[in-house]
Amino acid sequence: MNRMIKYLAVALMTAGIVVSAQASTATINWAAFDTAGVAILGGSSSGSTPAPINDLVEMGYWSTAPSAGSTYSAGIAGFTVIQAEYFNWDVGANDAGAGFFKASTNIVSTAAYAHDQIGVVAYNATTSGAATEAGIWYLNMSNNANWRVPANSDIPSSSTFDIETMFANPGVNVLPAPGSTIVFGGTPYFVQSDPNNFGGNTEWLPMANIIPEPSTIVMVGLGLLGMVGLMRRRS
Amino acid sequence: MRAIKQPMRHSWGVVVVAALACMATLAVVNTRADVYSDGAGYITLTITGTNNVGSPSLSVLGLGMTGIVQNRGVLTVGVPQQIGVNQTLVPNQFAADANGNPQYFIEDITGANAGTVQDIISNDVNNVYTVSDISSFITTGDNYKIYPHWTINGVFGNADQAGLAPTAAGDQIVIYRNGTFQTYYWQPASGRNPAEWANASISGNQGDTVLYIDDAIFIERQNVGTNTLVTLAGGVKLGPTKVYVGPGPGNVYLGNMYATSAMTLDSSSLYVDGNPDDSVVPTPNADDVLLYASPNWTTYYYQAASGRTPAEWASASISGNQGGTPIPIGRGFIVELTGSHPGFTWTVPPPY
Repeated sequence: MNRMIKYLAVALMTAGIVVSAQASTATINWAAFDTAGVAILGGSSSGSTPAPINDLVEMGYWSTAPSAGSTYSAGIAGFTVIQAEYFNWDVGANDAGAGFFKASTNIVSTAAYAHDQIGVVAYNATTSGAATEAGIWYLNMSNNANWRVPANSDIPSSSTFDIETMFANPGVNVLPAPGSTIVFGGTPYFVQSDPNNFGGNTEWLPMANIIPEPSTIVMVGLGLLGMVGLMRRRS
Repeated sequence: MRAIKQPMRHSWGVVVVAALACMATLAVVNTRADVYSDGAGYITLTITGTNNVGSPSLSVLGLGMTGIVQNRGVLTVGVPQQIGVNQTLVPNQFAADANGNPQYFIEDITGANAGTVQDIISNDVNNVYTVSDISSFITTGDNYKIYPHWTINGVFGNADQAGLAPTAAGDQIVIYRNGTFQTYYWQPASGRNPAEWANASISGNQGDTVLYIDDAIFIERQNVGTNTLVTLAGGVKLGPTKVYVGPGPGNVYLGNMYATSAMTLDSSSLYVDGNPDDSVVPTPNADDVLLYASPNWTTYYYQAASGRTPAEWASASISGNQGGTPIPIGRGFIVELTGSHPGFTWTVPPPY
C-alpha cells in the first residue's frame, strides 16, 4: 500500500513537472509570397528563373549576424536553423509557385536565442548538401523588429515578415530597404509583369554559386592524383 | 377563489388619490423628453489560467463598456481646448485628479465627426477644458456625452474584488503608456505597505490609473491554473468611435469598446481604401492586425489584389478570406504599423 502511495506521489509529481514545464510559444510567420521571390542563377530583368518547386529554404537565427558579402566557403557561420520549408509550400489554397513560399512556425523561444537576428537561407536543391547555389539574406532587426526572434514573454510573442521588406519600394523597384543585407547571393533584379509571379511586378533575390572550400578542392585534387597513379600502375 | 361583486363606493379620499395620480402621470409625461436611458448592462472578462497553456498565461482584454454617462447636452461653441456646453455644471466636477490625470472624457456624438472623444482637465459652469484641442472637429449644436474613465479600481475593485492573484508573482495587469509597458498588481498589506494596487516602478496606490475604452489590457497570470471571470457593469457604447492609431513604426494596443462580437475585420473599417490616412495599408509592406486566442497570436493583413489573390483580409498562417474573423467582445488586439505609416484616425462603426 505504501509503495502504491509512493508511486502515486511520484506520478503526480511527474505530472506536475510536465505541466509546469509547459510554456507559451512564440510564432514566426515568414514568407516570400507577395512581390519578392527567390531565383536561381541565370535570371535578369528581362526574365526570372525562380527557385524550383521543393527546393529548400530555411529560417534561423544568428547571435551575431554576418556582414554583407560574406563568402559561403566558410559555411553559414553561427547560423542555427529554426525551421526548414520548401518553395511552393503554402498554408492554403493560394498556390505560391516556384520561388515563393509562405510559412508559420511556432517555437519555444527561450532566453538563449530570444531577440536574436533572423535570417533566411535558400538552396537550389532539396538539401543543403546537394546544393550548388545558395542565398543568405536578412534585414537588420534594428531597422525592422519583425526580423527579430520573439521571446515567449514578448507582447506580442509573434513576428511576421516577408522578404519583400528587404526592399524599400516592393513592387516598384529593387531599392534596398535600410538594413537590407545580402550575406551571400547575386544582385537583385526587377521584372515587370512577371509571368512567373502571375503577372505581378517582382523583385528577385538570386542565389550565387557555392564555392567549394579550399580543403575540399585539395581533397578532390588528391583524389584525382591518386586515380592518375592507379591508371599508370595498371597500364 | 370567490368572485366578489360589490357596488362601487366613492369617497373624497379616493378622488384625491386619483387626482394626485393623474398629476403625477402628467408630470412624468411632461418630463419624458428630458429623460435618457442609454443601454446598460454587464459583460464578463475571462482571465485565462495557466492550465493547458503554461505560465505565464496571457489574456488580452478590451473593456467593451463605458462608464455610466454623467452629463449630456448640446455643444455651444468650441475654442482651443475649451468646449461650451448648454448644461449647467458644478465647477470642476469633471476635473483631473491631484496628479493631473483626467478622470472624465467628453464625446461628440452627432455631426460629421461623431465619435470624437477627448480627456477633460477641468470645467466651469458652462465649459469643459480638454487636454488636446478638438475645437476644429466639433460643431455648435452637436450633442455630447461626458463619461467617467474606467480605472484599475473601477474594473478590478479597490480591494481586488475581482480576485486577481496578489503580489508581483501573481497576476499582472500590463498596459502600454508613453512608449513603455507599465505593470500593476495587487499588493496585500505588509509591514510597510497598505493593501493597494502597486506598480513596480511608480510608488503609491495606482488604483486610479485610467484604463481607456480603446485600450488593450494584458493580464499575465503566473501561478493560478484556473480561469477567473471578471464582471464589468457599465454603459453600452453607442454610435461610432474615433481612435487615433499611430504613428508607425510600431505597435498600437487597442480594444473592442463595444459590447458585442459582431465586429469583424471586414466590418471594423480597419481597412477602408488603402489610404494611410484612414486605415491600415495593404500589401506590399502591409500593416498587420494581431488577434490573440490563447496561447497563440494570429496575424492578419489586407491583401491587395494581385495575380495570385483577390483583395481580401488574409492571414499569415490561415488560408482563404479572413474578413469574417470577429474582434470579440471584451477582447484587445494589436495593430502593427509599418515604418512608413504616419498613423491614422480609425473611425469604428457602431456594430449595432
